[in-house]
Amino acid sequence: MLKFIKNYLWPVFLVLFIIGSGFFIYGVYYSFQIVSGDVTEELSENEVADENSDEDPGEVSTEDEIDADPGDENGAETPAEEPAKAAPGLNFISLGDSLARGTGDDKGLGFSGRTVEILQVSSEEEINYRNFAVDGFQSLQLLEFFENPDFLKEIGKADGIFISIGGNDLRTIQNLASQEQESAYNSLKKMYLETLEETFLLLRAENPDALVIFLGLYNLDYSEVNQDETEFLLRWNAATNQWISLEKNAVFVPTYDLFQFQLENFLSFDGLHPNDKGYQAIAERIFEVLPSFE
Amino acid sequence: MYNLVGNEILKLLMKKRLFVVFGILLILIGLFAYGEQYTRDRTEARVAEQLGIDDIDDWREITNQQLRDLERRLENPFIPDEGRASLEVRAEQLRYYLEKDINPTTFSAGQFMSNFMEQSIFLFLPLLIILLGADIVSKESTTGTIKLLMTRPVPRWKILTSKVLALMVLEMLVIFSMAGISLIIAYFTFGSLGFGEPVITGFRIVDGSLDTSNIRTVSLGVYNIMVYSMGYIVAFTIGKMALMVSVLVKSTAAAIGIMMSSLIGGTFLSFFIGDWELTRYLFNVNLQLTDFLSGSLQQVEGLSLGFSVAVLMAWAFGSMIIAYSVFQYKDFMD
Repeated sequence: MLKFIKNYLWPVFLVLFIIGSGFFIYGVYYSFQIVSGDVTEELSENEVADENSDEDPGEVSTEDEIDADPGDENGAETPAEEPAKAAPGLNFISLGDSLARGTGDDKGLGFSGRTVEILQVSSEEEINYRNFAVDGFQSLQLLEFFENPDFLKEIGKADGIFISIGGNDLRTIQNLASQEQESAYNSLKKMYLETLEETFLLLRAENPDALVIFLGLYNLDYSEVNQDETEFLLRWNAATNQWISLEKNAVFVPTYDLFQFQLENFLSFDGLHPNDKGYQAIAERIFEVLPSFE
Repeated sequence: MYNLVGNEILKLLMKKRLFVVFGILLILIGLFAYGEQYTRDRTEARVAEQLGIDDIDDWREITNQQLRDLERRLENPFIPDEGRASLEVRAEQLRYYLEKDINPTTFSAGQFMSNFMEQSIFLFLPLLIILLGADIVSKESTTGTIKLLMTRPVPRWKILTSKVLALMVLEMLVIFSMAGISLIIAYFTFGSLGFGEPVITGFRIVDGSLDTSNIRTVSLGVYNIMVYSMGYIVAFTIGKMALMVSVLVKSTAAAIGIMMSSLIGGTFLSFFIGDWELTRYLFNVNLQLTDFLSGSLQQVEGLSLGFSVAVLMAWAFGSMIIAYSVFQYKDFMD
């Protein structure tokens, strides 16, 4: 038996070892390549090609491509736009967090896209609409956008600017212990208002006339009745409302009351973002407060 | 030489301890798989309850929505590059799941395999190797068979080399059985292999923070090969160190004790004095090689895959030098 193992079994292990070594050398080699980031194989090449096409926001081709997009959505063809303000029709842009981007909306329009849709029905002019919002954005991140000259160009062109920001700022205090929340809230709100002020300064420097439509927050924590957090939210809304309403050409659109009894109906799968109905309701409310554009 | 190595392997295979190791693997992996399945069922039930639906079988709809969401986000020209890369790989993942009709929340055997190695690479795997390797020389000292070996007309370095090679084969066997047992058990528990699924990898650590601008996906099969190769590097290093300790001390119990305490003690040490720059040259700190692939953040600054592998190799070869020079001149006859 021993003899058998010694003569026949152990070469099996040897072969196994050699095959295994081959595998492992390949594995180690590949790991190093991937970690150092210079894999130049099949997959990555197409990807790089894809990426390059829309990587640099400064490229003219990108601008055209994206300009064409909202045109499709509105069911009308938009010709490639001139960079100057001479562009025909009205320009709307959407800035801020996931709400402004339309997360949870099946059609992906969000409240801003839907407002534009409603506007388009009654308006004879063509409305161009672009969405620059990013999920999870906090007020400071929005402010950083204003360092980008291409972005400022877009701001300069706009006739109407939808902004939804601050929800993610406020959510950071949710995880704190309740005795810390009050002081955290106060410093957070101070910072937020300062950031907002700075944002508006930069925005107005670029475009003094555009109408800013600023979205209020609805209840963040719908699942449990949490008095403290609701109170923070209402105070937050009140402070923002006061600040925005004092600005020229800016309007604060409250949503808290809109969602108050409709959470079941208006929230999407994730329990955080509105669904189609929710966005539509916001859009209709915005439409009511909008002045007529000429 | 061929015969010598064959002999050594035979000795290792005949050991009861090897079957203990297999037993441990079987039990542990079984428990692990059961636990995983259990928690998954629980979370699924909880999520379903939260969303107010009976069953999450409309995953297609949810995944589709997530994908559309990602694609729309990619249209925004003002998101930073690293954000773009991670969005793209996530979209690619979702597209794969939709295309192959796989529910992304289900767990596959391939995922279990890589998880198991990622979890065991810094403690469990070294323990197994120590269990098997720490008595490779000391046992012969204890039982006195070393004298028989020494009287044979073979140079001493050849004897040690045959042991080193035999241990390397055994390390491979341990890694293979970890892969094999977890694959089989996980296949019966979770019901799918999933080697084609895309896994996100290619993270880099730049200036102490995770750089995701370079991430990409590889198939789960390739990822498993990568993860298990990292496991072999760890097993190789620990095996060499165990061999050295085994040459230095006479009793097997002492050899296992020394190796285990340095393994566990070093891990503690790295927790307490993580700021100290020298800790990064400890072997313990560098054992978690798979973290570089999966992108888990490092607790010790300044590590990279290349650095960690280099440190481990240095420990292995240092141990070998000590082992050879001691073995060559040690007096085994007392």
